[in-house]
Amino acid sequence: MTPEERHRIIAIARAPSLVLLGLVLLFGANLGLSFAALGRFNLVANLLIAAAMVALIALFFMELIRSSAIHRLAAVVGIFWLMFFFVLGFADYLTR
Amino acid sequence: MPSVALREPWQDLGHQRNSAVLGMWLFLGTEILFFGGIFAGYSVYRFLHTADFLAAGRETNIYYGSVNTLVLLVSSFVMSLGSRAARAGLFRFARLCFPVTAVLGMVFLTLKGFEYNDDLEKHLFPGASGFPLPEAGAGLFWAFYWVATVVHTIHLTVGIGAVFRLQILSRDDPQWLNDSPSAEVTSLYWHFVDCIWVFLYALIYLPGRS
Amino acid sequence: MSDITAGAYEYSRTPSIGAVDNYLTHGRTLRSWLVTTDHKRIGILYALSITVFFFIGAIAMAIVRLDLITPAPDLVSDDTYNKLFTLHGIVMVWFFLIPSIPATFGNFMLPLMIGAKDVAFPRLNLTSWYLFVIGALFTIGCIVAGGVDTGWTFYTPYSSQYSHGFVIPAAAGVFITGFSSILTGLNFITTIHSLRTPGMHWFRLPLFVWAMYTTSAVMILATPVLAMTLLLMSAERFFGIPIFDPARGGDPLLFQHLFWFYSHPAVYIMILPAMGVVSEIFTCYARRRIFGYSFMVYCMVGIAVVGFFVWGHHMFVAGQSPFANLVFSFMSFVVAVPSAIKVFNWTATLYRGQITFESPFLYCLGFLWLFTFGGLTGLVLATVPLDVHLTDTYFVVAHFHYIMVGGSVSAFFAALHYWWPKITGRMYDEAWARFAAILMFFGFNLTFFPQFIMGYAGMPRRYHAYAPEFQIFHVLSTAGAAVLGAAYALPALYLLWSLRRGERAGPNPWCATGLEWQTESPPPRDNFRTPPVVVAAPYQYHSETHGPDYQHRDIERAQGTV
Repeated sequence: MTPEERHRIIAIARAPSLVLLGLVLLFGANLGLSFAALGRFNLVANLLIAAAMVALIALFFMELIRSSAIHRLAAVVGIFWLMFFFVLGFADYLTR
Repeated sequence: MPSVALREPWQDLGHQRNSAVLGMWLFLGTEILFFGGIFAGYSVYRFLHTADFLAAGRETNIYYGSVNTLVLLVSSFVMSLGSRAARAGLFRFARLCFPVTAVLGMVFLTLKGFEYNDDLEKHLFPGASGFPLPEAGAGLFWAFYWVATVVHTIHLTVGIGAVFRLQILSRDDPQWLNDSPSAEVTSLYWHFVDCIWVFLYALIYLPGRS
Repeated sequence: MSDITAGAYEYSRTPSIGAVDNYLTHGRTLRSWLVTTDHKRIGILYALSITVFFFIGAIAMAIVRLDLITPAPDLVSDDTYNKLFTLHGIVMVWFFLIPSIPATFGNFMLPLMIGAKDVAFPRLNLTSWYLFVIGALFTIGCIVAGGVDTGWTFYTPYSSQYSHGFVIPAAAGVFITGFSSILTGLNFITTIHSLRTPGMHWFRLPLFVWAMYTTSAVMILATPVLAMTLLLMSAERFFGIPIFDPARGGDPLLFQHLFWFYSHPAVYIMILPAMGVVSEIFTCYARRRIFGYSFMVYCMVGIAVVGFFVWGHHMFVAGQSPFANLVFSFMSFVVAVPSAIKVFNWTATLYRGQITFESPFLYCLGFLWLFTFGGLTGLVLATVPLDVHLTDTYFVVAHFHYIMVGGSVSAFFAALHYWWPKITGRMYDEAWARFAAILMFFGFNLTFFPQFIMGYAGMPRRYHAYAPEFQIFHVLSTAGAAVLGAAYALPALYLLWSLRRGERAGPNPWCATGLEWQTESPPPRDNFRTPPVVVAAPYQYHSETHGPDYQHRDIERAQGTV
């Protein structure tokens, strides 16, 4: 490996390394918080942290941050449609 | 000479890459709704049997789950290095990253196998007799545990195959990694499987710990 | 180029018909068909496969209808009866209606209509046909092995615990076929985004292309939920794990929620393509621009989205909460609005048109009547108190057949006749075609209108034996089914005849706009000898200032060929 190559590898690895660090910290926070007695907020905390981790992966590893609008749209449309199910499905379960 | 990576009906590599990436994102949209069926069912039952789900979640093996989460996070990191290296033309480094990614995936599968073995020894399979948990919702929790993790495992296995495919197809012609959208598309799929696991980890291993 | 908005498309005369090299002659071996990546050939492969399934599904129902002539369950056993109507439902929904227009005409026409060489992922396109075939083999295997008796809805806990039929193979067939339609949808959306010819802006797309786009979106977003639902049901059945079992804390309604989250939008997978076809054909035979193009587009998008919010109207009496009933009932009324706008716009398109009653137009008129009727009875069923009375009766059966058969199948036949000259290069016998179209309309009404009456009077669906006062309606319905059967069989005869004896069609026998008519019939392997360029909106059948010409020659004149 030439020094120039090594230099370029370090350059492309910088951002993903920071993201990995963030992911591991969030993971640790999630694991730790789940042992704290927060009642029903355990679930909220767990899901929010999981969502933050997924957002990191999607934005930086899957590079949505530099994608075109149409790719971003395709990425969020599935999540939207899943929310439709949750909203209307729970319109039933919450009011039985 | 046009690249071998250029396929019908495309006229240039950039157009082909954009469209392939769009196709993969659409497929991932489908996958979100596929796993969405599991998440929806899990949520409904957790709502109907909250205490039972917490009790059942406590029985999962958090050591396997946590180590596996770390393994997948690192694998995603390596995969993203690989796809960036392929784009930057650093093919030797990219071809180093892909096998590492795949091996991390296989580590996950191995640990998962040990975990399944433990689960079965504890009779935590709700379809068979001797299921130890008395709560009504516990059986449902474990049913979703098995379906969700098995479906995820199948996805990961497909991902490992796809990563090896990159390695094989680029053996004689590393430039292919740059020309073809395959590296980017495979990486998207790998990260997606990782994302699903992040949610499964929070829903399966973390409930009922406090 | 005087008063006519001429040169709607930049046009170069193609070599005359009979040119040796077209997609049909591009390879003559069976192998060349089985490994083809040509979207046109894949469309034909789909057409042949779904025709086989159409007849399987039709035969199953023919036996049921014969049995229902008498109130007593005398022709087949109860068990066979259940298996027959299940077979009819599974085959007609997943192996005929879902792929009917998108996978055949969509595959064939979509790239032509946007001026592309092929779809975005040609090999994936072939893969989806093979997935369809594998799913089909599961289903045929299931029939041969002894069938399944759950109804096409696979409701739990019957399907997951009690049924003795081959539930898992049947579900596997549907699961695999589902991936075939997901891949088709993914391919179409990418194609429309990436491969439009220069000048083909989003609001210059023919409405059939918009129909394919919205249909594909529904396919991608709904089908995976069905796949997971069937997987969960099969896992419960095979491994005995509790998922929907009420005795072990499960909720059978969860299955219905998940199932209808797919299966109601699936109705829009069937009807949106039909709407696209009708827009193409009405404009062509009325020589009119489409009335309200942009609203037609917004309505299709609206139907595709709001169609996801109405699934609970299948569960009004199943134990859903009254609040959810209210929400789903309201949303079902909302989704009727864009459908109604479309009906009004088609009618307005015909107004002051120079109409000629060619067979595709007749089929479309049939569509307009039957779809409207089916849609309005849908509003009746969306009203909760009425649904309590009408649910699970023949009223429901009649309603959805008016939409799916009266609507989708009529449009399928319209598309078949409209594009037959393009696909085969031959003209069929117009007199026979008109006769078949009219016969189909009357046969259809004779079959299904009595079902509205007997359903309203209380005849439950799926019953093998029934009270004698319903016999007259069942006899009428069976007689209608015989007429309908003849109307379906007729095109098979004259269309096949046309392949050998039909006149050569020429590139544009209907003087239609649209890029697919600007290449040879049948089209060459790569669709266009010179890539077309689009300079105007679709359906330029007459100028802004003048109405259509009664001679139907506006387009030819515009192109300088008359």
